[in-house]
This record gives sequence, structure tokens and C-alpha cells, in this order.
Amino acid sequence: MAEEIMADMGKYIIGESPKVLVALGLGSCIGCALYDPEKKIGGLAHVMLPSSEESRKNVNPNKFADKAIPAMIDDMKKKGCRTERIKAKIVGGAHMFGALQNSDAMDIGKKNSKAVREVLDELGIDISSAITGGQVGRTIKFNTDTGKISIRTKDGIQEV
Amino acid sequence: MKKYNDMQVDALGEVANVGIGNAATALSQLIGKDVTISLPDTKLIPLERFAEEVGGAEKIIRCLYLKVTGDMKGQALFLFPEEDALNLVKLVMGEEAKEMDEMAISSFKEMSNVIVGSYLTAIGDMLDMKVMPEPPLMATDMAQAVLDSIVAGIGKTADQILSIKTTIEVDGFSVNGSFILVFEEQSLDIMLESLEKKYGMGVN
Repeated sequence: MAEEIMADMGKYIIGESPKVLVALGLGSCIGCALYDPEKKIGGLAHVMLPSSEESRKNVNPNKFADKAIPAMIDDMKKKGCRTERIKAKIVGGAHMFGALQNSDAMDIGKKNSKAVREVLDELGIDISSAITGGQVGRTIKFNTDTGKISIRTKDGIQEV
Repeated sequence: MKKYNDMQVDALGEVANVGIGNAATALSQLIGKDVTISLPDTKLIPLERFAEEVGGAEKIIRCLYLKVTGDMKGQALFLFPEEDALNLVKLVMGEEAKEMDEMAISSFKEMSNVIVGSYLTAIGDMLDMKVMPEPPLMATDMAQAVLDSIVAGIGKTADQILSIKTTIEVDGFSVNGSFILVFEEQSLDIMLESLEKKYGMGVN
């Protein structure tokens, strides 16, 4: 069994083959996985919120899509990864309590999903798979040897 | 979230205590059984550790979510393992409740309304405020996933969450769940101010 490293909520991690990067129980949060296949290095950000703009100073910046993803890419570059080789897979952004309520707190999943796509687009990184939305929690395991991600829900497992 | 001192956390716990006493009585009357409700455990928790309060990130739980509105804003959460939720419903509906079907869910939701309603009424009376729950929403999934949007709401401006947690047990039955209240920072300040004014608890 390869060593697993955990991306806690609001944190990003970087690991190289054969490490497995894990995020547990993604609901409205997004697991943003970046992979450089040549270096076999991966990064996984467990994004909680779309933008640091509506926040205040002195909070952990890495829970925000607009801060965590660029910082993660910088760290990957320091390890020799190249932006033009990096592809992204994004998972999560669910709406756990159904579509009935439209209060701010409740459609956070959709906002997260949109923000992560925008940040990646600005950085010129293509998304090769996106499993987002719905009303389901997802645990992801990102294999840095193959670049594959297994997604486990309470109903089953799929791989992208 | 700013640092609350021990005295302030204790004062908030005391408010929660009054609320939960009322809620326990309401639940006990509803199901006609003795109910044991723990003293509220009031503490600041890092956002990423919140799911551990209810058994870990991947534990499948049935969660009822009630938005708290009025003079104070927050969220009330009812979290039960699936079997326990059904056992609780059986106490109200009888043994014919075999699964969490529509009837059972509706009864479960009604229960949460009664409990949260009586809880909030008690603390509202204590603080001279109007606080009430909105109709409950439900999700059954991994604890972390279910709690995500709630944690994110607090996480906008804070790295910690002030959790007021109570465990609920129905004596002699396998019903063990948690009831968690989370208030926004501004509402916690309002609560502390009101305590100071009304009771001179010297918490500020």
C-alpha cells in the first residue's frame, strides 16, 4: 500500500509517485487535483470557499480557491513541474441539503465549482475531468503514480 | 472567530444549558420516555476538525439542519446514525415504522422542530430576544460532506467554530445522537452583551 497523505479542509498538499493524496467527505467543498504526468507529481487542494475577497485578514488563505490553487501551482513548479504539462481534475461542489433552499450558505457548492474553474482557466490549466454538483458526499484518492482518482460515495466507487 | 475567554465560553454554555433543559422536557413529552441529555459541551474547534465531533469525516449520518433566524443567526444540527434515527421515530410512530420512509422522515423532522423550537424559546426568553428555527432540511451522507456548507459559512471569516454540542439518549433504547448549535460571531457577541446587561455576568 502506497503512503496516503491527507488534504484536510482548507489545506493543499503535494506528493510524488507513489504517494496517494486523499480528501475525505467532500460535500460543497472541492477537491482540486493537479497532475504533471512527466514528473509524476500531484497536488490536491481541499477548497472550502470561492474567494478570499469577502473574507478578512488573518484567516487561513488556503481555504479559498483564488489563493490555494495558485499557491499550490507555485509549489509544484518549485519541484520541477511545468504549467503546460499540468492537467486538473475537480470533484465535489455538491448541494447536500437539496435544491429547495437558495440561501447563501446552501449554494456554496456551485459557487466553489465556478470559482475553481475560473481560477484554473486564468492560469491556463485544462480540466480533464469534472465530477461536480449533485447531492452526494465524495471521498477521493488521487494516485500520483497513474494520475487516476478514485471517487467513493456512500453508493459506490468510480474512477476518473 | 476571535478568541473568547473561558468565562465567556462558560457563559454561553450556561445559556445552552437552559435551552437544552427545555428541549429535553419537550422531547420526553413527545415520545413518552425518559430522555438523558448531556450538559452542553461548548468549545472552539478548528474548522477541519468539526466532523470529528460527530464520529469522523466518513461516518454516515442522518442530519437535520435548521437555520436559526431572528435576533440571533446560526444553525441547529441534529445528527443521528441511521438506525438510531429510525429507533427514535419508532418511539413516536410505533414499531410499524420499518424504514425511514416519507412518514418517518416527516415525524423525524417534526421532532427536530419541537426540540429546536423549545430550545430557542428558552434562550430567547433568557436573553429577551426572538430566535426561531426555519423548517428543517435533511441530508444523509458522510459527516464531513453534510457539515461542509455549514463549516464554510463560518469559515468565511474565521478558522474556528464555536460548537455547542449535546448528546441525546433515550433511556433503555438505542437512540444516541447529537444536537449541535452554531452561532455566527456577531450573534455570539450580541448574546454575551445581553448576558452582561441583564445578569451582570461580567463576561466582557
